[in-house]
Amino acid sequence: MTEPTALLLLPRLRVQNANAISGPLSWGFPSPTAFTGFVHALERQFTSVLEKGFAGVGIVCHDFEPQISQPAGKRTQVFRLTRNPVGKDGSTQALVEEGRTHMEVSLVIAVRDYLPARKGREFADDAMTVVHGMRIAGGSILPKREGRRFDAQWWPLEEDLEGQRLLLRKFRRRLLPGFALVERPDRLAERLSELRERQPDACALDALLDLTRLNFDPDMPDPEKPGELRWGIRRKPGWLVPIPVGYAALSPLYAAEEVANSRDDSTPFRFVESLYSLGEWVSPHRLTDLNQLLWYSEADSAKGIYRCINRYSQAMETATTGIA
Amino acid sequence: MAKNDLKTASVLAFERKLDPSDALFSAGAWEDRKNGAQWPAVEVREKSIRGTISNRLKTKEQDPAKLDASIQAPNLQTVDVATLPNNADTLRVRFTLRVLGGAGVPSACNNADYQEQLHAVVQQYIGEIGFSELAYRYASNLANARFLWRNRIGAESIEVQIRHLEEGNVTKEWVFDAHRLSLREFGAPDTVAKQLEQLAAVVEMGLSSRSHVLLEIIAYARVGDGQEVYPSQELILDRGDKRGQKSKTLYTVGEVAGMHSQKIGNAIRTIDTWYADTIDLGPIAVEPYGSVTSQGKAYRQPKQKTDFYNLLDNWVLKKQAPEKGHQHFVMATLIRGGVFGEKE
Repeated sequence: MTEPTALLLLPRLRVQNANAISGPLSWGFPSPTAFTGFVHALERQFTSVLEKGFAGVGIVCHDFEPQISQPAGKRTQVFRLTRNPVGKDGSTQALVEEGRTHMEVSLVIAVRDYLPARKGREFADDAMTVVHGMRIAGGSILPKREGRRFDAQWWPLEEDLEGQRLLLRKFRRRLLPGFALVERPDRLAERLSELRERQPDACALDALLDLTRLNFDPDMPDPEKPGELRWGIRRKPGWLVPIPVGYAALSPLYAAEEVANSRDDSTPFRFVESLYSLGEWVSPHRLTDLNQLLWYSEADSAKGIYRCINRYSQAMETATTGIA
Repeated sequence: MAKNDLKTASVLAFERKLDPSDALFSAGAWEDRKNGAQWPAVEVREKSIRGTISNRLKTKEQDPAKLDASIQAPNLQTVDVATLPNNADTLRVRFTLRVLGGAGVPSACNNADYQEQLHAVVQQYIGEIGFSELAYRYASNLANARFLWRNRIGAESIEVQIRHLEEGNVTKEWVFDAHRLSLREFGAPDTVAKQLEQLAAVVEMGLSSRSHVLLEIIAYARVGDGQEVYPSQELILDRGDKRGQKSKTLYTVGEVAGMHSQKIGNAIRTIDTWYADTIDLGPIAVEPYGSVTSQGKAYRQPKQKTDFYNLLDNWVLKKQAPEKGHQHFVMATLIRGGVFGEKE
């Protein structure tokens, strides 16, 4: 794999009515697969300019306004739905629950091809124009606002590590205020081994649920009554969220056209289920390495795993060992 | 493969090609329209009212004593409301409309033969008829401010400013007096005809070219100081416990009252005058079955073979081109977008 040579920043894209239910267990911010898919679609528009293509996408959210409402006297929230035009006999159409959200995101796209600075800037502008005719997670992208900070930016990367680190230091300021979505499988594994000490048959799902819900525990010593514990909400090590990161196979890989009514008759087909992982929202100023930010899609058709990968935890380890 | 073996693709979907944003409301004085961009937003607030019982009662409830008791009981309700401030008489509604190219090209289709035939049909339409009629009608619906819906009714004067934006710069600007244009028919008095045709040409360019066209639409409606304005209402199925529940929730985007993009889109595609009972109703929104929600009726019944699916199948599978009006309708439905695949 060639290393990226430049970054393309699509700042502050406002998206309207994006899909807010991307997995069977959770709702909220669209899955990273929506963004890797979006970037892939963008890449395919520029096959004549780019030979090597893109090397990943960083997802930074600045604003998130899900279309939900809180019913009176309840603790759960419900989605605001849409009423669609009446059917052919004049009766109301069945309501299909959909989750929608408005959001403002910045996308950081790593580009593998080398382009001279001026061509790079031209490419960035072209890409921005194309982006505004596309959709992200099913939502329409609202027109670009006026101002230079909303223009697409082209950031050539330095060759040496030190230069890259300085560049990233400058670059990450463009992503503030906001939160970058990263993956934290290490926290999940850590929690799982902690759970297994008390509960040997615990599985990864237990750990995921344990980390993403509100836990009310007697875990703090009570200052007024020594020897007793006080109940309190367990603090989490970060803003941890469950995220659907891709798909795992449920069936063998069928040849193209073997399954009726598939979406495309020239692509092999497989039944899949959602894969979940643990994500964390981190402020971009904490990022020290580009690899912490980027998401890639990865397919292992032999094992039947099609998923997005983010190397936040690995990159963090190498960064700290580098310092020590 | 023989031609009559052609079947509708089981997966067939089109993206919408007219992509409006949510319309946001702000308020100010009619004379001050040139500073409209700085006007304060219209906010939605909650009010609680003590209503009376006024619903139709069942026969068995019409016993006078019972009736008395139930009528004396107050009917308390909490609703959302949006009004202009007391010192502002004009509502400003702003949205943007993106016209995407590639009309008639499916975003998903799993049958290459069908797609090829569909492409031929669309190309034939573009070659013989072109998008000019549709573009003209879409442009009319922008200029006549149909998208204001209920806010249009009772407005003293309405001005619609439409700007064509390219890379953030205004390349062309049109100003229409919406009352000069009819809602019932398409066509314009000579004074505005030229402007409308220019606008239509821009929309047509967007529909037929590969790049997209961006329009900014700002409507000023003079409705009177402090008058109520009408944003979209939210559809919430579960309103919760009876106590404290709100019976009407209005749409806001970051505390600004607004209209759903879907509602704007519906007004823009209210161009169908090619259905059977046109005289009574005027244009209706382009829908596969010609359904009109406010009437609870569909005007393009499959029985009469004038619905979208019959027309499309005849056109693509049997190669029988429908009459021109229906051709416009089929193309307008493809521009609207949707999932049209064959059930098996």
